[in-house]
Amino acid sequence: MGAEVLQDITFTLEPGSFHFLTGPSGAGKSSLLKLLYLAHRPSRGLVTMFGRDITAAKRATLPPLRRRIGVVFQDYHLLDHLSAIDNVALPLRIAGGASETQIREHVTELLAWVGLKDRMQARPPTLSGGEKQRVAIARAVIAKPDLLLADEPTGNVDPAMARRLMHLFVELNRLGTTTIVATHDIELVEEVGGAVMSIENGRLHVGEERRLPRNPLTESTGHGWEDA
Amino acid sequence: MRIRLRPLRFLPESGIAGGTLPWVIGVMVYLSVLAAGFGFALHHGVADWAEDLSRHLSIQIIDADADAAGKQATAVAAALEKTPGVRAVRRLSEEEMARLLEPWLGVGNVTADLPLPILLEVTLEPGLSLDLPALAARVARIAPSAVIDDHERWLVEIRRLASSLELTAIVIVGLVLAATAAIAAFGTRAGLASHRDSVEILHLMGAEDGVIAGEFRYRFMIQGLKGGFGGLLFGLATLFSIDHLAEQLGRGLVPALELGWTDWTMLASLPLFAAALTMLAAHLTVRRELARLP
Repeated sequence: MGAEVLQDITFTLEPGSFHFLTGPSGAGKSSLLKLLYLAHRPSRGLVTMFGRDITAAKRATLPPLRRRIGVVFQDYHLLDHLSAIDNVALPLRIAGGASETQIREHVTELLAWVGLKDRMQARPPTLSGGEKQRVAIARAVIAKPDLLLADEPTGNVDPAMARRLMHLFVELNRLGTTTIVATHDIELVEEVGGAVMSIENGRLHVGEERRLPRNPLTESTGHGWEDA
Repeated sequence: MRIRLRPLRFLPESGIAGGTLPWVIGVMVYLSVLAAGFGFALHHGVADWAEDLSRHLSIQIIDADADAAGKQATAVAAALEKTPGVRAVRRLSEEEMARLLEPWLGVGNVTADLPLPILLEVTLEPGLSLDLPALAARVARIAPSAVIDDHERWLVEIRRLASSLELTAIVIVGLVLAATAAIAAFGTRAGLASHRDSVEILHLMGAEDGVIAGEFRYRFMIQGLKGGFGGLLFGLATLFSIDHLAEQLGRGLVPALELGWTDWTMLASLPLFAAALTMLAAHLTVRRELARLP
């Protein structure tokens, strides 16, 4: 067993809360997120999600829980051989229950909303960084997850684009999705508001939750998704 | 309820196993078809030959006195012709006897003064079993020096050889199919390695192991069917070519390719069997790999 990355961490996320997760590189932000999106299991301790003890849960019981979590990976993790529309449709196809027509309608609508109406059939290698980011975010939110985890979602885009992406997270949070956004961008954190969890040397400090401003970003940036 | 064969098309349409898998499976099925085809042909050939042989008896009448031997032969033939179950009795001519001995004595070495037994070829009615001991006793009363050969010793030897060859064919088919499964497992592992990221993403999105494995199963089934039916076509073409050549040379060592519908069904099912094995190997490999993920 390797060295423990996270130690003595205790926190509770209220349903519908919005948190930023900050900290220097290598502090353990990604490790904490991996615990939360069930890519890792804790070596000790207790993780409870959606009322279930994840630490002791059988492996076969985890997929339904994972389907309630949307993840924006730091490096997108799009499937290169699938079109943007098929990448975004994956969570709905995995969940089942919706017809292919419904899935296409829903995905088309969301991709149009994030400004990728003309890039739906494009494959990730032909997309710009900003376009990939929006496809990754659309994929994370398409199934209306109960928990949204975003790992440095604005790390590779310009400040204007970062604001636009944050707008989507804030809107989703208003609809009830518990959200954690890991970021280095302190200016963005200040601008958006919300509670800040900072992690340093594997230890977590949870700041006070602040009410999100009513429209923290749209007033300064508008709703523009048209440009990558 | 609508059953979707491929709920997730997350693998690229081509090149999942390097593109060589259908070829390898094709070669495997080709070899299986040849082995099984020859096995079936041998089985039928030996069965026909044994059936033919079992309908004939040879009776040798050995007597130093040629006249006495001739009389005994005539009497035995007359008695046998009246026996129920005997269709025909034929006495082999001296030329035929000489030809039978030529392989051992050489051409032209069977001289007129060489004492030869008289050979009667008895053809029995098909489907009837003869009470051989009773027949032998009856013949012995007429011709004390007669020796009856029902070819049973040869039949036993031939059947044993045929059984061994058939078993060998079955073992070859089994080994080839086992190799096919192993190759499919390697192919799956290679496919998994090159699509590990995709598999992990789907896993993290909450795709069940069975769903992920299902996509691999589907892709490997298609690869198996492509290669399998290609191998079947080439295998059948080879079997027919060999059969045609054997027919031109005259039937001898190679039995005729006279297969029944069950044989054809089994040959045609080899690609399906190979595809099913490939699917199973892919399924087990993927499930084992996925079990390592949290």
